[in-house]
Formats: sequence, C-alpha cells, structure tokens
Amino acid sequence: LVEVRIPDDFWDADLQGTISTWIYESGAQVSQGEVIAETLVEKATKDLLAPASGRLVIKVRPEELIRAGDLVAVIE
Amino acid sequence: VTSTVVGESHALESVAAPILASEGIRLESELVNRVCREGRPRAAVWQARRALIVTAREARMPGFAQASAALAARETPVLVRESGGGAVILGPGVIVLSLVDVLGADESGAPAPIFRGFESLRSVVEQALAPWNCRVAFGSVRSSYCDGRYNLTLGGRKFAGTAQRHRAGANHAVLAHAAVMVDCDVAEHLACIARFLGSCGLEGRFDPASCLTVRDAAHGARFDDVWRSLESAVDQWLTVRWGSAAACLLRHPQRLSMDRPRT
Repeated sequence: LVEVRIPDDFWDADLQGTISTWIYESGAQVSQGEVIAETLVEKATKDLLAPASGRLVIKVRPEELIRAGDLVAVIE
Repeated sequence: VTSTVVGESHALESVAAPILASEGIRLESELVNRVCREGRPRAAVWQARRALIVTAREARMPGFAQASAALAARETPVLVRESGGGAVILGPGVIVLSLVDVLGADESGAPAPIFRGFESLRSVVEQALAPWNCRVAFGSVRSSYCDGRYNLTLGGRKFAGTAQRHRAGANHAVLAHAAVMVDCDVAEHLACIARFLGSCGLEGRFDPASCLTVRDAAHGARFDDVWRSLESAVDQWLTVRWGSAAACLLRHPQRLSMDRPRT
C-alpha cells in the first residue's frame, strides 16, 4: 500500500488548496509517474503524479480543502 | 517590423493582431511543453479575438454546455484553460502576457514558487506602465471577476487577472499568465461573465467600479504604446531569465498589425 500525499513543497504550509480534478476514478489502475489528479491553490494548478503503480483508492473529494502533506489517496 | 533570431530559437512570441483564443491557448501549451523539454524560459505577448475563457471547474457545472452554446451564438466562443481562477473575457483591447519559467531542481523545495510567478507578472507590468507613473500592486478586489490575492491592481481597482499552470516533466515549467485590460468595455465584460456564470448555476455578481482599464488609469495612454511597452518589458524579463544579453524576440510579420483590432 502506497500513500498518495500532497508533496510538502507543492505549496506553502499556510495555504489550503484542493484537488480540482481526479483524472481517474477510484478503483482504476494507474502507473507510477502518471498524472492522477490536478491540484489547485491560489489560482495555480499543478499535476499530482502517482508515486507507484497499482489500484487507485481516492480519499479526498474534489473541492475539499487540503494542505501540503495531507493524504489524498492510496495505491494498492 | 523586425524579426530577430538569436541562438537556437526564439524566446518571445509576439502576436499583435488578434488570433483565435484557441490559438493563443495552444501557443501557451506549446511554450510550456518546450520549457518542460528544454529547461529555458519562454514568453508570449498576444491578443485574442473575443472569447470567454473558463476553468475546468466552471466547465463541469451542469449548465455549462447550454450556456456555452448560447454565448457562442452571440459570437463569444467559450474555451477552457488549464490554469486556475475564474472566467475572463479575452478580446481586442486585452493583452495577454504568458511567462513560462522553469523551476530549477534546487528550487523545488523553496518556499513561495507560486508567489514568484505572480511577482514576475507584477514586476513586468509595472515596468511597462512606468512611463505613465502607474504603481502596480497585488490585491483581492471585492466584486471583481476571477478574484484572487494576486490580481494586478491600480489604485485598488483590478485591471488584470492572473493565474498559473505548473507542469512537471524533464523540467518543471511554470506558466504565469495575465489578461491585462488595456482598452475595453469593462462593464460589458463583467455583465457577460455574470450572465454566463448565472446560466451555469454559479454566483456572478460584479461591480464595474471594482475594475478599470490601463487607459482609465494612465490618462492618454495609447493602446499601441502600451503594447510596445509590455512587449519590451517581457523581452527584458526573458533576457534576465536567460542570463544573457541576447534577448530573442520574434514578431510575426504576417499577422502583425499595430492598428486597433476590429472585432
């Protein structure tokens, strides 16, 4: 099981962002290094990459507020 | 009209005559891909034919397809961009600055890379408007369109919306872009955006007094002069970012016209 977290250097610690779009649905097979979601903070969008290959299990809904370091999904 | 080519390729794309907004979005995407691939900053200064540019979030709203069709029937096509924020109108009189920088590996853990992109836009625009004694500031502006902390403002009123798109690749590219309202009907723009958002089921109440154009602030400023000044400031930004005295400027002679564009 590999955790998918918002990388600490994605945005400043005091900011809250969101997952604006999940590219895949929960349960989909994803490959390491693939873009799995688009994040949004301060009108800046950034790609979130899969840290491993496997089955994606989404833990956070789009538009839900998150911070850098938060768990947003796992890959089984 | 001059066309200067230095080194392996052009760095600044300058397109004065209005292009299709879809072409402008594609140009930005190409620049981002090149920066990802090559690791050197790029930029564009361009003007589009009239269009409403929305975000992916707005495009997911239930009423989007119908609202888009209705607006397109009134000669305002609706396009989706990859950066954040909210809906903006592009068109004659609105100059788009697209700065694509590269985030170095040693900077990836540095704080505030997002701020740096917005600050590049602010400093470039402030330099360009210096001849008109305009002081450009950041700020959220209540009742303005596409609001955010990094709006570009003059005297507390918004004249440019800003947003960013980061893309990882061989290099980490950061597109920071601004739609600078130089000479356009602000009230009409806001009314159009409000109608569209309302049709999509989103709130869109704007106050025309929240915004202004460069011409409003810089009394007597001519569009062509502002264009050239913005182009020059972006060129200088590129020169610094390339770390060389050889700024690379490409104007497109086949499309270049300093005449005020027609809709």
